Amino acid sequence: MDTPQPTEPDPGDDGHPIPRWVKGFIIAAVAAVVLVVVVLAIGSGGHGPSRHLPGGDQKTTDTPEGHTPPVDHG
Amino acid sequence: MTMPPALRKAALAVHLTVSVGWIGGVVAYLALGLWAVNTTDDQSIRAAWAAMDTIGWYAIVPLASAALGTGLLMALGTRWGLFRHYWVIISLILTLIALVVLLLHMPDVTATADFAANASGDQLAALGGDLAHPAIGLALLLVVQTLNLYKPKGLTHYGRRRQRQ
Repeated sequence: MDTPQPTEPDPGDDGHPIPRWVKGFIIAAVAAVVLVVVVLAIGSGGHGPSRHLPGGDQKTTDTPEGHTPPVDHG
Repeated sequence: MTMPPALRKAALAVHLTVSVGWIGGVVAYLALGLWAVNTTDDQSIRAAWAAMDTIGWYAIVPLASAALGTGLLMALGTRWGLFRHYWVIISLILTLIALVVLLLHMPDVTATADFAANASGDQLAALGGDLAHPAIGLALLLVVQTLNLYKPKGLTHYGRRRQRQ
């Protein structure tokens, strides 16, 4: 947020309750969310770096540190 | 309650610093993620994940929290308000989303960094990097930055009511 303070009457006040840019933004945001959901649904469901760890994307909060235990290479 | 000009300038300076710092931290994190994906050197992959974990917890999370806090202060301490302008509301929502996803994601990064520290070559190669989260996060932050710079007009119903008072 910048220092200039709002002083002028706003165009959103002239009978258009929601400005067009806000409507466009909402449509774009919904489309982006749907795209992410579809990508996650099409994929294995797991995402993020922990999908590569033993146990996949599950959180391993049963360990004392709440971390995935390292693999035993012995 | 509006802040006096000197205090407002100081708060704005802090807000800009931490907000831009947040973006810079994400860019650095993304660079490390790309490095982890592209390198074949085991030590480099381990180092990249350790650095991503450190940058995440000690730079990005504090800067993101500070950006939200100072943003709220700037909104509530100036005539912009928090719910009077659409661009402020959208900025707040996007910032909250970015911060919540960041806080939910960081334990995964720590787990992966811990794993990478002891993993063998094949396991490290399978780890890859972490690109989607920082890339989407960076895009979100750039949208917020653009909104904050251009301040597109548009009063909310509440904002119009307050303006008439």
